[in-house]
Amino acid sequence: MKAVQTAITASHTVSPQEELWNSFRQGSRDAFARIYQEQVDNLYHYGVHLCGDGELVRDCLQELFHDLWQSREHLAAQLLNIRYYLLSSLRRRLLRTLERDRRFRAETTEIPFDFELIPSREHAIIQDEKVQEQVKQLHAALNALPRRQREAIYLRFFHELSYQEVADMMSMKVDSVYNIISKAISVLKKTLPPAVLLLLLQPGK
Amino acid sequence: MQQYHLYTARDFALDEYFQEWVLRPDVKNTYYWDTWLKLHPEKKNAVDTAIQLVRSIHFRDYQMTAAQKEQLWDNIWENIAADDMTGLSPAPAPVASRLRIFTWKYAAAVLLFVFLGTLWLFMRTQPFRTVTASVATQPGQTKRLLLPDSSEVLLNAGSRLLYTQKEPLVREVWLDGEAWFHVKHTKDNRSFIVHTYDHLSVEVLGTRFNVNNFGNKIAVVLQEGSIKLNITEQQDQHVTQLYLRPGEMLRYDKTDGEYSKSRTDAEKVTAWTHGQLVMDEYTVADAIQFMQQVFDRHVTVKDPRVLRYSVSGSMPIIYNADTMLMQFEKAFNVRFNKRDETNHVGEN
Repeated sequence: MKAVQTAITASHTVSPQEELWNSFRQGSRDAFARIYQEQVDNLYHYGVHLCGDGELVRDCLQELFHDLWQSREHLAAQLLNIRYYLLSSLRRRLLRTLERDRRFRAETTEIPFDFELIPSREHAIIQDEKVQEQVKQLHAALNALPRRQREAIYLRFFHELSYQEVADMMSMKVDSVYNIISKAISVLKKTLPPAVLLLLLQPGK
Repeated sequence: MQQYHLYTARDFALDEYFQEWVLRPDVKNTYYWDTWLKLHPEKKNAVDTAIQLVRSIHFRDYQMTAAQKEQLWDNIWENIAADDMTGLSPAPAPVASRLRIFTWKYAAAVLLFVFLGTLWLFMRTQPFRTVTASVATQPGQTKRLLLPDSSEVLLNAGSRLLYTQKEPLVREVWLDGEAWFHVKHTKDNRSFIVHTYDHLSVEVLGTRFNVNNFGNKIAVVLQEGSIKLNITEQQDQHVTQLYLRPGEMLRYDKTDGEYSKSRTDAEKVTAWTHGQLVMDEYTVADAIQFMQQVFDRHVTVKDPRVLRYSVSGSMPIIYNADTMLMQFEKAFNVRFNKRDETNHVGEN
């Protein structure tokens, strides 16, 4: 029990992320290149899920990284999560651009959200047709959730943002994020009977 | 304290800390959940199910090609260079002539950036995977380990070391029990951190030292080089930094957070690493503590006054509890009571 309690208080020194961020702010091009290299795939992934237009996402990313470099001296020194910062910045830019474009297009054009859930690789290798069918149903059920909810699930499970960060980014309450994820877990649990779960158990964890 | 023992699979799957362990395991959360599961074996099914629930959430993949990524990076730098250019010429010349004047200079600069950037990408694209390794020793057993950064660790009996490398160049371990470290100095002065699951961590560049994190006390002894200790004060969470010089020892009490520095014979403390027990005013109480730490064997003496008997000298450490106990009995000329052989049932 003791170890359980003390594990959480293990002491904390300056994290590598903070170090990277600080040397970037001081003008290190290496640090900038590293941030780009570490984050760009995730940002692109999110961007395409959000708007479905790879070219638009690349344009926004170019603008984002350009502005990031130019404003490096004015950025916050204490940054807890670089990924969160960049994701929310990309989100704002994309939504702004889409909003602007919409004025030139038909009024009815909706912002296309995606966040489509697909079976994981472990699911794909299962031969059993019955199980395959269940997995298919499961994802259909998840994809039937409203887009905004899928985005919250996506941000939590794909980008590993904390509940608080997801809430901040999507301007909702932490409780709502918790409820959305709770709903998704329920869907999963209902559709995936224990037998299927056992089949999916991987060795090694 | 979370009421995890009341959790169902669904509750686990919803718990942020649990998700973090499944999605991004590191030494801290792995240690936490491994330890928790050991204490609550009846929850294994619920936890397994929850792991699967969390893992079954997947999203369609979208990726840029390597060429697109490179192109994007080039565009970013081109724009930055273009900004610098306008910054340098407050009265912008007409586009055509400006291009002619500045092109060669900035083209060279851009090319250099592109080159450096590409070099970076090449150096960075080697896939890096989070390494989380855990090594434990049974009572009466020691292990010698070589970490990926070629630092050497000798793990004493009944101890556990978790090693993680979340990012390249970061060296961090979590220690439960006792270990002797020989940390290799890296060219870029990367520090090596030993965490103790308590308010104390040891930070070094390259050196030899011993950490004993057994029971209620932590003792850090330095053989050579220098080390920094980060101690989080229990009252105000303020971090105190202390430095040790060779031959100095820091004792830290986990129960009240008190600590003190003293001089000691480092060779004596680390003699166990070459199978020797060096005894200098070594008491029966010390021997009892030794039996407990190394063999998880709880022995007692009838007369508490005997606890203060002491001897000086040295003896080989035999990794067999009965033989070792016999050696102690001979050295002190006392008899120990081996009262509860069954004591370590339930430990594993």
